[in-house]
Amino acid sequence: MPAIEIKNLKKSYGEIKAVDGIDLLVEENEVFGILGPNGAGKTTTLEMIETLRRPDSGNISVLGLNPVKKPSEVKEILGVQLQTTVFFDDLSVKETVNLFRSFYKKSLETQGLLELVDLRDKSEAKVTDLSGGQHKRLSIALAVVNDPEIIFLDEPTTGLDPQARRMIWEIISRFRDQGKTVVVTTHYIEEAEYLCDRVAVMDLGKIIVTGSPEELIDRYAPENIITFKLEHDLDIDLISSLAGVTEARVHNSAYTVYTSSPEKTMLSILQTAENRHLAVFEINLKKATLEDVFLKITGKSIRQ
Amino acid sequence: MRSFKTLFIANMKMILRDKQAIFWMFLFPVILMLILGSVFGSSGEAHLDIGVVDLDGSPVTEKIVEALGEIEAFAVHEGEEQEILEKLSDGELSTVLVLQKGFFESLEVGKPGEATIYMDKSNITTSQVAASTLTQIMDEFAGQFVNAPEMINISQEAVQTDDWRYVDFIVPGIIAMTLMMAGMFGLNMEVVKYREKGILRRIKVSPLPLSRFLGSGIFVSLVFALIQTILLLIVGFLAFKININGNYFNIAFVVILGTMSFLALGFLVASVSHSLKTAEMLTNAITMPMMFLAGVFFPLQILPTALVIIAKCLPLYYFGHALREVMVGGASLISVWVDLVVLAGMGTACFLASIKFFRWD
Repeated sequence: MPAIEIKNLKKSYGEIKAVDGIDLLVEENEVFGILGPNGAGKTTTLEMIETLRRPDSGNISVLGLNPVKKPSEVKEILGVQLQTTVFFDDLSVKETVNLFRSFYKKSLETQGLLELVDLRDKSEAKVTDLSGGQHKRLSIALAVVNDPEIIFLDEPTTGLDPQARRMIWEIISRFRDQGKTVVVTTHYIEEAEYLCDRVAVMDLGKIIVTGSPEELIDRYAPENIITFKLEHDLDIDLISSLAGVTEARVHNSAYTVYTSSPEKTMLSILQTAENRHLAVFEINLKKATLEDVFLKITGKSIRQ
Repeated sequence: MRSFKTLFIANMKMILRDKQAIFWMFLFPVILMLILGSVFGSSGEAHLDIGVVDLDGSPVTEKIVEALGEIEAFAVHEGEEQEILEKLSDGELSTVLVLQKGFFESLEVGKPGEATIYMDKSNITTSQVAASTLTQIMDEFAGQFVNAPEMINISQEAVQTDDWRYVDFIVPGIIAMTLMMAGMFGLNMEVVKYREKGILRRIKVSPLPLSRFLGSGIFVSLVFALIQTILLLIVGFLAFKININGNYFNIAFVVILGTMSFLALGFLVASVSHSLKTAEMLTNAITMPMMFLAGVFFPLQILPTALVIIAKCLPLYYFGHALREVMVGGASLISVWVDLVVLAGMGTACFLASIKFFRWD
């Protein structure tokens, strides 16, 4: 049985179609990412699965249960971290975990939970004294107090520094090792590429494409990318005609070149410049990312 | 049930750790009571309207009326019996003294003179203040006339209370006001905060029913309401020796009913407010007039008629009145049924309305 199965799910707010007929299949024991810019409909989708919002139409099945018809059963097997993570001001970390544990029929031990998210030495601290990363980690601990089958994390690392982000990634990897299913929304490309077994790319309420990050890059952006600047501008058509180039763009004297044979293209760029006695600055070669996949499909950047 | 107990403990801890809440719930009312009690308590009773009907028209009775007029605490109104009694039932007067026909003749033949004191049943508290003072004055007056102290026979509807003073009046008033404040600036504001911060949504994705979450909060509020009442009664007793004549069950009943009623009003404010700021402004707009106009600090009798009408439109008036009658007047719950019905009615209406307007986010 799939962990989550969604068919033709729709939700509108007035005129705005927040979720516009999506299909989704999340397998058990995978980390599934929903990637997209702000306002793509990621959070609304999650909230409908989590029983927070009622779909206008369509079908949701969470391990065979319908969240609209059996919300209490679904809530017992789901673990949810919402985007805003604020708790009761005057309680300590331990007290907060104990309080949330009491909401569920079965729950994990407080000490074990705090260990899982590396907050053991903070158990007596007031929640208001936690740092941003610790705060997020506490909210992840609260999401798994009931030892859920499926864990939802809505932008778990937004606003965190790289080190705090790494720690959260590590925690999420532990969930996978424990056999849990994790659904994570993000607008960070690296996060999706690092964490997710599969991702669904969402934009304007629709799922554009689903697959593993490698698959998507191979399929939609197989080329490598060379970026560089020149002393004086050259005709873009000349650049486009160089060996291996599939597409070339220039913006403020910065060139972006997509190529299927990076070595050849790199060499011909340097030769062309040499022949014209032009200096080349900041030349870089990189592999395409999900960002480029998004750019290719939608024609716009994932972060606006 | 485990969650109810855990929530109960968590709620208790949160209130006890919130220094501001502790100040407003406990320290502020105690300070207010001490200030009002010591400033006004010593200067005697507030000015009261007394009706006097002299049916005898003898020199002695005239002298009694004259003597009453000289007492500063009283504003004496004379007139026909029917007219004066009507004023009493309209609430314009708190007590009426009727010197019966044959008062002087009885004294002359060595019998007690007949007099009747009518009290306002719906406002026993202030009436008692007046009646006990009247009785005392009449006794003194009789003493000057003849040797026997029982020369004047006063019949009155007695709720036996000695020594009524201003502090007896304000202590229940301050308790009512404090419980109103706790009801309207307590749990409901927390709910607005929880909603703003997204805690309500976080609870909604857990299997815990909202009713249990709020139920435990209401239970904690009631426990604190009783603690506040006990504390203020103890302070009132230690500092001013106030009279507590009511039975404790009745007092607790009125305290709980009143607190629930104002909690419901608070919830309604929370449900219709979009932000904490709006909720606070709205609550201030509701509680401020009640503090000053609902007759919790001063008897309605000293206010102009227009303000009396306003006061009787304010729910706090009924809470204060019921609490005072039951606590100090020793009245039964049945005798304050109007107050109880008003409080229960407001509570139920606000509760239903707040469910209708409730929002998770």
